[in-house]
Amino acid sequence: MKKLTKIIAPLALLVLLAGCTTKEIEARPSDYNETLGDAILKDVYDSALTQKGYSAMAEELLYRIALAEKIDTERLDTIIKRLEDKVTTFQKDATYIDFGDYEKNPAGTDYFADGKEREYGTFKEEKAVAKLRVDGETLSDAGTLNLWNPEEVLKEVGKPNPAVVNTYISRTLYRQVVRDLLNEDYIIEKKSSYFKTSQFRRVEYTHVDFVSDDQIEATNRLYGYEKSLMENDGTTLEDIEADWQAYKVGIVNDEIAKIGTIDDEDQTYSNKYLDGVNLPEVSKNIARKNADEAEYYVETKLYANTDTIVNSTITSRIFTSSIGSSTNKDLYLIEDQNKTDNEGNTVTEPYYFLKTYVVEPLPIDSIIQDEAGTFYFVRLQIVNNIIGSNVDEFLASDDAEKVQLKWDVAEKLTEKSSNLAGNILYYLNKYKIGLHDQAFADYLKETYSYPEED
Amino acid sequence: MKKTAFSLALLLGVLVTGCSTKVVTPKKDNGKDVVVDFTPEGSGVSNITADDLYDDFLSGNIGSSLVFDQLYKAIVNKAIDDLDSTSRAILEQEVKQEMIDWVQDAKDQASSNGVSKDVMIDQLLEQEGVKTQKELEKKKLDAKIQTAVEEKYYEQNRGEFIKNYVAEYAPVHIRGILVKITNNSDPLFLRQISETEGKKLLNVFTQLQHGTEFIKLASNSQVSDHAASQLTAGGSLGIMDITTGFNSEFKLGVYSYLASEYPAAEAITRISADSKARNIEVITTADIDALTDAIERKEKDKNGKDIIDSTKKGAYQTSLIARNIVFNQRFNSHSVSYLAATVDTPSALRKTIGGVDVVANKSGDPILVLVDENGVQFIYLENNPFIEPSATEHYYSESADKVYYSIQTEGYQPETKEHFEDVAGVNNDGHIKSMVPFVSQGYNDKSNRKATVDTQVKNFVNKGFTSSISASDTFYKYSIFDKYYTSLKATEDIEGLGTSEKGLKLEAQVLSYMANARANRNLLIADAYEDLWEGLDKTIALQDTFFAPITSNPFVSGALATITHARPEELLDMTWTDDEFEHYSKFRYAGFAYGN
Repeated sequence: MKKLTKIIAPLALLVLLAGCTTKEIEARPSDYNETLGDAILKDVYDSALTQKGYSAMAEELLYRIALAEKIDTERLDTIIKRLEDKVTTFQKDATYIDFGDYEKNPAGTDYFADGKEREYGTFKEEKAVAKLRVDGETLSDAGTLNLWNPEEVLKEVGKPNPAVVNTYISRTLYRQVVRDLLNEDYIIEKKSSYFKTSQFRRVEYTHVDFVSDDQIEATNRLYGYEKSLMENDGTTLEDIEADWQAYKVGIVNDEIAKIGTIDDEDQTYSNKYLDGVNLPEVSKNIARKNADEAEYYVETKLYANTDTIVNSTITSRIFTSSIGSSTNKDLYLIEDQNKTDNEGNTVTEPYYFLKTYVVEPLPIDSIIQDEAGTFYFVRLQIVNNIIGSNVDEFLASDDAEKVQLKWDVAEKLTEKSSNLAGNILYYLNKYKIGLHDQAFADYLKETYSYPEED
Repeated sequence: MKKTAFSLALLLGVLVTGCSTKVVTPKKDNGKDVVVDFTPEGSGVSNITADDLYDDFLSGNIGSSLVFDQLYKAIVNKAIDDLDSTSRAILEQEVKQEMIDWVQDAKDQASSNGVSKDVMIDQLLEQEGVKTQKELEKKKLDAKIQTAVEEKYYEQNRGEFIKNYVAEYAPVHIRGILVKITNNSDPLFLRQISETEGKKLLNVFTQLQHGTEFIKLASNSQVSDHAASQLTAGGSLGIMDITTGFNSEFKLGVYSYLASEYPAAEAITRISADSKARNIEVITTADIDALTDAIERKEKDKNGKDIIDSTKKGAYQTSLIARNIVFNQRFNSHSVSYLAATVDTPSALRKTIGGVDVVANKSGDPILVLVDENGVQFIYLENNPFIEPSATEHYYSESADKVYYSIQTEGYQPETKEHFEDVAGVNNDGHIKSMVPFVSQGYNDKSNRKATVDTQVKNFVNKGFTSSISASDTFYKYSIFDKYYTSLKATEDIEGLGTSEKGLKLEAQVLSYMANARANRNLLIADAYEDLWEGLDKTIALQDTFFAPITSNPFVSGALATITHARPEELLDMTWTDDEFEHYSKFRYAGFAYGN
């Protein structure tokens, strides 16, 4: 027996060692070893794999997991919205803009004497299609179909519309969005504690750039805006922007009209509007354009305390820890909690104005003046107050606003890569991934530590 | 015994753990290898097969480029025999020698590194990305064949390329005289010329009208402000094609002329409708007289003081003086102009265009005048591809070199011949040597001339356009692909991608990949053309706005209220009130506060 053991042990060793040194398990396409004409498929496939990398395989796996999670159906509205945003961003890419167009020119004269349009132009579909095709996308002929409307391109999300071929939207962008949403799912599912510590602010703001030339009128307007907001008369920050912009455009037009009249005898307006480089009409049009296109309002968005809102001063005021307290002297509470708005809806969260600077001769103190003499009207929500102390309850809520906030916060949380640590491993474990190619298995082990050691 | 069994189990455990195949098992799905599977909760296992994944990898541009590379390799391997039947044997011989040298080098390195020859060879092969010397030899031969094919293909098809280049890039040989305008800080439509510059300009007008040969003037540093090398080359500015980095006004001037005279040029130069609509003007004797008169005038301000000719602060007065007003109104038109002939112009140097006699060169081509950022340019075109049926041949044929870098002595006035013969001497065939290296300054031998033409032609073949779009030899490879793929496939010299479903799909993909790259590049070039002319058109359009009559200056009254700034007599003869003068000085051109 002892003898037998002595024989078996080395034999077993040999068998095992031989087992370890057998050829690696390789999953390859059926025609891997075939030639295709003069082309050798093996070489082509291997080069393709080298260029795409195993990360592409992992991405495909995760995309399929995302579909298994039903993200494509359950988050349909979000997918469409995100795709639309991405398409808008794409259409603003200077690469695809024809800067030869002057559609926004109000006076019919070119803005720039050198003939170059710097900021304005129109999206040139033909140009974008040509570039995307070079990138390997398949698209319908430019100009004949509405290629840039995600709903039109997809018809039914996840199912490309055969009448509008646009793989850039239906495949490339769609996959990105679905993968992003899988990450957000992970945050909600596994990292809900981050909701408590997020300290996000939902902020919208507008600003007015105070004009000293017209003190009384400007001050009156400032006062009026402040009053409207404090009285909650339904004035929105966009309304303020529109009014202020119209006012500023009026000033510019009035001043330009004075050029060459007795009111400009000291050349104040000539010097202000005629820049010495462009022709007079060009200079005037630039000034008109700048006034007309000036943007004062920034729409509602979530901010983390690591983001910057306007500048560090305003950011620190918005993120001060005491902002939630209505008794703080730096705050002016404009509404009581649970007050109803003009349409009778319950306002679940108060809006705050920040009192940081007293502006004379304004009798009120609820606006921010920054260092450059610009006044900001800020409306903010303290996200943690809405989330409340019971995160699970918040996450389970059916309330549409809370559901939306849940997704918004999750999206914001994914911006920080450390919040996503372990997410892929989580899904690999959750879906009991079976491995049938050694190199890919090695990649998952090395990159995501999958499978985890017992 | 127990202890032994335990040890064995332990050993087995260690070995199994150390073996990385524990979790990886082979799997098939309908006969296809599965790479990975996953199991959604409550449902069955989903497989991702290698067929799916790899097909996906090949479907994008990476796959297309890889398949293209494979096909290209097959094509050049066959094309070499078609281009030159002796090449392959020579290249093979070269590679054999290189391999002998390579092995020797490996031995030397092994010796100096203290390793065996075999070890060193393995290391070097690995660096080359191959496993055997045979593979290395093949790699070297493939590379040599590719290079040889690409070189020979160009040489054999050079005529065709040049023909297309001439047809699409509109190259012209240009000779010019420049009267520089120093003060070029003003907008182009508000130039200020000095008295000296004005006189220099008048001199060129007069000399050309009196029949002095263009080339003689263009060689004279007292007349032309071009660089010395250009003067030596008889005013040659070399080849200008659509991609040449000459300034836009200059190019637009030349192409405006070509498009107006030769319908074929319109499409090729892609000149805009605005530019085409702009009439070519004629500089008349009256214009020249007005400038002569203006230069001679002493300009006085309201106090009777001379107006200071200065570019410094307060120099706004300079823009009011007669010569600048005349110059801007009558010469600075930003379209190209002809120069009217006078009674003194020899009949051989005249050409009648639109019923007007204008000054021409000895070939009968009109001399063109235009103003650009450098000053006033007088130019004429030689070997114009739109009027010379054999122009393409001129670019191509080395036997026509004399057309480009020498001057036939016939037809020139004796003093011109003498001047250049003194400088350069005469060839055996009676041509003045190396006088006009039209291709480029400094290139006065055949090989350099050929190299210069080839550089421009290759840039064209590789779809380069000005500095904004780099040439890419990928397009050259596509040209080789186009030339051989179909024919080689038809004769079964290469198998292409076969006729299977996958082969046909990949073939369509590769063809589409090339077509997409070309379409995108063509679009970029079209865009660059458009920007080039559009920007200039807009600048010129502004000039037209500027020349509109003054109607809104409240400080001018009476006759002055209706004049344009560009009418010197009225401006200077006006009786100004103090207020009028002061305000007019401030506002100058209808509230145009330029130059404060």
